Amino acid sequence: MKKLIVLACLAFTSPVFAADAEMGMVLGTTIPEVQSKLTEMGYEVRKTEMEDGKIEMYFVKGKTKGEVYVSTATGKITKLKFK
Amino acid sequence: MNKRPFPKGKRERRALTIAAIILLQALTAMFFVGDVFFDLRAGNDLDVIHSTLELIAALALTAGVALLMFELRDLFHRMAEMDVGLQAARGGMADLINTFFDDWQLTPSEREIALFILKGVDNETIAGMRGTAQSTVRAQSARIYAKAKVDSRAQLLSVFMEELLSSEDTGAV
Amino acid sequence: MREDKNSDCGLSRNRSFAVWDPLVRLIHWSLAFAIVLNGAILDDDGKWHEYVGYVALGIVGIRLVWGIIGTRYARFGSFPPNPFSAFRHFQAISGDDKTIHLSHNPLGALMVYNIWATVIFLGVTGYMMGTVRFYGFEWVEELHEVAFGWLIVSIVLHVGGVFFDGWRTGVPLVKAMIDGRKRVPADRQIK
Repeated sequence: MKKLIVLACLAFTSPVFAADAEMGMVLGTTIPEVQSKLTEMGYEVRKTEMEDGKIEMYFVKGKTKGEVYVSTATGKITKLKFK
Repeated sequence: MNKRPFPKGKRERRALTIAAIILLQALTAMFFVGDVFFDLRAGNDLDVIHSTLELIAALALTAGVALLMFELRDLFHRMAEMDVGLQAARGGMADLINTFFDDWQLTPSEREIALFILKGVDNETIAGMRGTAQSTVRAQSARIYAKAKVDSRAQLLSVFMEELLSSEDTGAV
Repeated sequence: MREDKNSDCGLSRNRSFAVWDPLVRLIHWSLAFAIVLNGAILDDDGKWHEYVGYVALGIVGIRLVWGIIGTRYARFGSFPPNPFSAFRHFQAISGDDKTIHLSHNPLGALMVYNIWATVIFLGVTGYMMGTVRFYGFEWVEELHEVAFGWLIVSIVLHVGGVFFDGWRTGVPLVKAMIDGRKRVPADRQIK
């Protein structure tokens, strides 16, 4: 029973270690959605653009930076470039 | 006819080579320093030995660049001086030639032909360049030699060479 | 082989001065090449663009050092940045002063300092764009782009100025930046 309660609590707490973006991951289909999902994952969004019909965001996290492209249809990451 | 036997060409090539090496070495040194800098900035675990070696290499290259820069500067200034000397000599030569031609009272045509002769151009080519016959050139040359009191091409040239090569205490050789 | 038809012996009195040393010339054309590469050929977003940018910065850096310890006409002292001289030079050439400057003339001097400063500014903003601190910020990117626009304007003016001055003074300037020699017509004064 205790194990179940601990597990249930864990399921509802916000992540201690932010997740890392990966190809194919679903972020959202609109700019605000994608941006808030990224922020939740610990990324700071610096710039947002639409390119080739995809949502493009420039992000920074810790010492890494890069760009992510998200499809507006599926909400998945189609391209991920770390710099 | 336009031979350039002077070492000038060789010196210029050397100067250019030195300049190229300066540029390459300086950029390489900057590359090594940049490498260390970017590694530091990215916060990666620095391979201290690697970075130290890069900095030493950069130092060595910079020393090379400094040395080569002073070398190039000297070389260029020496070339420029030689140049000035050469142009002065040319000016002097021009004056010398003019003086003798005036003295001999050469006509404008004769002056032209005499110059060709001094430069070693043969009669056939002179005739071609002036659009006259070779016999005309031969006749004109004969008049030039007479005015200059010489007998041949070689002697005409020697008039000037003697002037240039004579030292003060010897008179006519 | 030019032969004068007058009695002046056929030897021209035009003078030829060795002005631009090989390093100045190499730097000039390498920088021009780097600018063409980064401005017109390489992908703005790519790694090559970044590296060529740093090379351009390096080249300007070397020129600045050479301006301190280099050959006579390459040193800053031969072409100090002086807006007053530049204005006076502008007045002089609007008249019919035909004095020739062996190093950069006062207007040309301003132009070269301008181009070096612009390239440095481009390099610095470019560097900033690659740092985590400034990455993705619109204002840095815009500074970089505006600076590039200014560089293009400057280059157009520079090329125009070179051809104009070459025509005005009779000294072939492009050739001078290739073989280093300024060929000065016979009746001109040198500065």
